[in-house]
Amino acid sequence: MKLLAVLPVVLFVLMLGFAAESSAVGISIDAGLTPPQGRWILRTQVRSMSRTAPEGTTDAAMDRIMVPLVVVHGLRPQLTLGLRQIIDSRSMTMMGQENKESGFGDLYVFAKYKILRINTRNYTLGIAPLLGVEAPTGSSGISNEFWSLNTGLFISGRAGKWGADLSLGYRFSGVAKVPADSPDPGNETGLNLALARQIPVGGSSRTALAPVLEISWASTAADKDGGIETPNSGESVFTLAPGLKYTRGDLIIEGLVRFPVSQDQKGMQMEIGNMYLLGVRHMF
Amino acid sequence: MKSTLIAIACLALLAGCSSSPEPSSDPQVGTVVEFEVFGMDCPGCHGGLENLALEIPGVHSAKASWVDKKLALRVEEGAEVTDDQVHDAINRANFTAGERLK
Repeated sequence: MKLLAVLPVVLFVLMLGFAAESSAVGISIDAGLTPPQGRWILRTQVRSMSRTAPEGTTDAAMDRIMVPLVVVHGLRPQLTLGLRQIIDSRSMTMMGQENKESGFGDLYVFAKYKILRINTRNYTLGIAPLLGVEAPTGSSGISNEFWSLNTGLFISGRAGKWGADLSLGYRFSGVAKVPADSPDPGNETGLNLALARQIPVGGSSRTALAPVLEISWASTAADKDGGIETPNSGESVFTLAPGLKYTRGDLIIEGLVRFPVSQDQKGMQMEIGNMYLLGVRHMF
Repeated sequence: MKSTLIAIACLALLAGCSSSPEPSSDPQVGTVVEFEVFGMDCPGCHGGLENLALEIPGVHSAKASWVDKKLALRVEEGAEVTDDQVHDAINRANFTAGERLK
């Protein structure tokens, strides 16, 4: 466990040593370099995830299928705009009763601005902050029913065929709520490091296979009601996610399995299980 | 689970239908100019740069290679493409131009 705790720090230091930038190493996180001016990127994924009550407590369980549809456009070489709409399906089981809900999730729009990009023969380094807004446009029972402000910083590096993307994110949840006097949802902090190695396939520069490893830590603060923490809310999770990315020209097919290494939920909450992700993206 | 499988099948179908054509390169047309390009890191980088290069008047076809760190342009007979035009296209693709090789 000590080794696992130290691993992200070691990898981060190694990544800085690489001083290189990656164009889109991450699979589960939209990270990487800003795309060329005028380029459109369409991306969709199927994410299957689950939660179960801790052993020996209840039979509560939740299965969830999420399909995010993402459109990204390189408006300027420095400025990237994006939009994400999730289609969400949840199945909740408790005491033998099953409750299903499905519909559209909340709409998320974001802008990423390139503040640094150094391209050399040996390495590439890029830094781009992100600002995004999530609006409560989703279906009833699926929507968060509050506005969120997302801030992020992407640091990307490339050296030869190796790539690394570090994403730091902070989400101000519930900057405006519906109704306004509902409890304050906890803010979220996220840290994701994705490492990849491109392997050209079949002697062609048009096709490549890339093993990817994502190391993530995410923490959600407890909700608050009248300034007092709501019981059974708030958690932190450390996950590892090995994956594979296949690139053929403008098409990328990607998949990964994310499993929790350690997690800590406050009070009585369901634990996070594995997540399976399969995605496709196409660039125009 | 059923909906997952359907979604995966749809993705696979989409993937199967999509392919990246090689850029047209008629060896009989025009001259070839080549530039070093730094910052490309996977095959997905090619298309954006090639699209921007094709916007340069007189460029007949463009082919980028992230492995060789190169952009090759076939220029139409009688047309003139300046280094500045190519550098501008490379910059707008968020890459950096190196030396002109040809």
